[in-house]
Amino acid sequence: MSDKPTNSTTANPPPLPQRGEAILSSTGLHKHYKMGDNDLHVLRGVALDVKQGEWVAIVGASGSGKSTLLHLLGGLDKPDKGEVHFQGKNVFAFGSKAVDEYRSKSVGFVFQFYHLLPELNAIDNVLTGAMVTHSVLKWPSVARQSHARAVELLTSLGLGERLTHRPSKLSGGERQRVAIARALINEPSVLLADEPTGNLDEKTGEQILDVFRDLHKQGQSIVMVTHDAKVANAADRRVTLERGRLK
Amino acid sequence: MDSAPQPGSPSLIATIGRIVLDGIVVVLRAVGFLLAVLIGIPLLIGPLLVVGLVVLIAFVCTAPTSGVYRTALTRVYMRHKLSPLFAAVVVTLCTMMVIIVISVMGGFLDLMRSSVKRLSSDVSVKSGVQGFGHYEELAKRLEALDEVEAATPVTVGYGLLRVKRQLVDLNGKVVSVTEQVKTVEVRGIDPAGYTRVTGYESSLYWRPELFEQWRERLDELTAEARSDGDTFAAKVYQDRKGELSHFEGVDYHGAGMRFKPLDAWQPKKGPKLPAIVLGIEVDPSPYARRMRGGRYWPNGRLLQSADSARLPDSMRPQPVSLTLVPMSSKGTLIEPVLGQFIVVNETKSGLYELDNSRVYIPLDIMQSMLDMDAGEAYERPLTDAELELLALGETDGLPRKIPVPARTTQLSIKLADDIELQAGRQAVQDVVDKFLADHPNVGLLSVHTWEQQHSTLLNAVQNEKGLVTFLFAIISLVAFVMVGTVFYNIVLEKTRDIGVLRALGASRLGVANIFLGYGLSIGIVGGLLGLGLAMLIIFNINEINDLLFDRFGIAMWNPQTYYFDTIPEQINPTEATFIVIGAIMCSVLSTVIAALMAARLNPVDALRYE
Ligand SMILES: Nc1ncnc2c1ncn2[C@@H]1O[C@H](COP(=O)(O)OP(=O)(O)O)[C@@H](O)[C@H]1O
Ligand SMILES: [Mg+2]
Repeated sequence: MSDKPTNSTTANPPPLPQRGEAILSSTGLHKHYKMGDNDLHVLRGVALDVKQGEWVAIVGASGSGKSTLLHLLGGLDKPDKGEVHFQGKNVFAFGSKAVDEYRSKSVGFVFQFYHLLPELNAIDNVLTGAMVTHSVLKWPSVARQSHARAVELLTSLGLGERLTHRPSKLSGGERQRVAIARALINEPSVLLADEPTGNLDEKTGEQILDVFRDLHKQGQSIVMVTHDAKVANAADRRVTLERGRLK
Repeated sequence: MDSAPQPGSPSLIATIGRIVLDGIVVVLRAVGFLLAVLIGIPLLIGPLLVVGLVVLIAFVCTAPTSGVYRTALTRVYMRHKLSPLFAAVVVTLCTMMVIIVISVMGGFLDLMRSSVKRLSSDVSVKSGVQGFGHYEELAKRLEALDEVEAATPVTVGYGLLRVKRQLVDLNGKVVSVTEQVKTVEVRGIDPAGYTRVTGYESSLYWRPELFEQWRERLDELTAEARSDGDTFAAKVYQDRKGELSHFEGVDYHGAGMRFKPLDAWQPKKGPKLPAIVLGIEVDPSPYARRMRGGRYWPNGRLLQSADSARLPDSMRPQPVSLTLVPMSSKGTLIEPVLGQFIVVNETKSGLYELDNSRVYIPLDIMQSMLDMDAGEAYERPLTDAELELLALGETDGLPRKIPVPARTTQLSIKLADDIELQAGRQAVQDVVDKFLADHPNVGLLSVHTWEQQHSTLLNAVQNEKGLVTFLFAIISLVAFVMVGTVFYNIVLEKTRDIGVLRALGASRLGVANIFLGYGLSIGIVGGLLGLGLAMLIIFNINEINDLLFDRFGIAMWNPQTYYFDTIPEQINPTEATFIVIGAIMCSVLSTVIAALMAARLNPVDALRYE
């Protein structure tokens, strides 16, 4: 699919990273949660390198901080200490607007519970991803193209017959495919998936895993959180989060 | 995130912040509606325009350059949710309500002003109740002014009006007599002069066109009844048309203008009686009440008919009697005097206040009844001893008598067409000052414009308009709080979706703007719909009133209890525009809390669970 990851945090794009070069990395990530008097130190200096085209699986016990790490990597939350670098640039160093743009164009999120907008049909849910990046003024010129791409994505994920179905009319597997299409609409460099098969039965989970395998084959960098060993085995590399550190 | 734990304080700060914010929003809404109420007071336009426009402009300016998802989602939420629809309905109804109230009350005020103006002279020169002499001279001096078109003496007093009604059998024998008494303001006028300074002539109610209109209306009703097959009703209408013939061809208008009862109207025995013109609501009898649609029916009133002469006195409307209490030129009370009058016409100003309490009689009759005509008086006030002598009929030892001029209590003045009211008043004042210098014993004279004279009445309605509109604005405030609650709930309900949008790259401002845009859309839709509905209702309000009465017997508006025949159908474009703008701003402002909530939401928390 996307062997040409787009690059939008700078006006002058650096040379495209080659397969094997680190595209997303973190150093010394710390995250606390305060709960009353308790200070929960979830991440205690997490360092992770994701190379271009690599599929990294993050495993760990429930509550070990896997989702927290993924949110930090995707710019959805801020670390208390440490940095996240995307294509060599500190994601959090250029203000919230740059972080918003990073989330919108450089990464794509897939969640365990799909998180589709219930009022929108499959195609509009996918288009929402594109609508965030394009302004009201620019939209008319890209609307057709985006629409075509959304249809193409959904069709390639086997949802050609389900384009105008609302999420409530779709099965769990189908919903997750729509969510994947939404994450891919802006051609992100890294796909961040948080237990994408966690809510699905084994057979459907396997089908979704196949989708990721295909994407990986096409060169998509993937960071996937899971606690399913079988899923983790499909990845290039597996790291374990334990007591706030990666092993 | 701040890693230093500060137990307790963040939630406290958040609570205080929320309270302060709520307070600010409430104040802003209040200011917004105050503006709508008190249009034209620049003091209030300032703060509202600043705040409201800042929000609006911030929204409008960021809209085209930010993500298209905002407008798309606003549209989707508008279509798929019921609660914003309710919010829009609430905004619509509030806008409609305030516009209708402010318009109808404004219409009243305008009608009252024009009615008061019609029956008032522009400027009047007034003395105390005992009146002032040499008024002809003052009138001449005033009329010599360029600013003054006409001046006429009017003598104002108060009296008791007695209306006697006899019930007679077919032989003319009196079966019963009822007598009703009413306090009235009596004006002694010269009709020709009075017409030159006020709308007196046009306010005379009984005139040939009126009977013509009645006849046409009755023919219409007859035709309608016939086509409905209701022959009984048709006959009733034709009978009523027959009753009209007694009054047709009589020159009531001329009688009202000349103050001369026709000879046929005079009682068969006794002296000839002078004329009186009553305000149309003065006659307290049930026959004289206003009918639906604000019209009056001549029969059963004190009006003498064309065939009065052929009827015995007992079968004709009785003359009315009027008791006046005169005052001497020194201000002492003299015995009440009683006069009998024949009603020759009635006046209708449209202002119930006046129509219910005013009667007109000829100036000379008024002056002689009040002892204000030209005559003689003692040159100085009598002592107690002299008064005793007088009571005994003695004339010796009393002071010398000197001639005194006729007196009146006021001069009513019409200004020339292009003269501004205050300038006219000043010109009159200057002449009056000179006149007083020439006649030192005339006493005090004050000069008033018609607005000053009726300020209590007009200000009352003006205040009422302000108050009622303010009250409705407060009610609307409650409604806008409800709109705010609707959006608050939507944000609560849409927490996860907001998190999703943030994950897709939406900014804090972006998700906040979804709700501001939402509020703006609802404000525009509700405000314009409210304006449309208000116009629809205002311009058909009398038809709606009639319909309600015909179908359900509900008299939303009863002309008998109000000043005017019909509800005013007018709308003030400036006021309406400000109210619509106010409604739009309030809608946007009422979504501010929801928008801030959306902006402050932590996407990670929103996305953690299903
Ligand atoms: N907003 C929060 N406030 C307090 N504790 C939190 C919050 N979010 C997560 N946690 C805690 O942090 C730990 C890590 O959570 P999470 O990253 O969701 O773990 P995982 O995804 O590995 O199951 C858990 O113990 C969780 O209870
Ligand atoms: Mg998790």
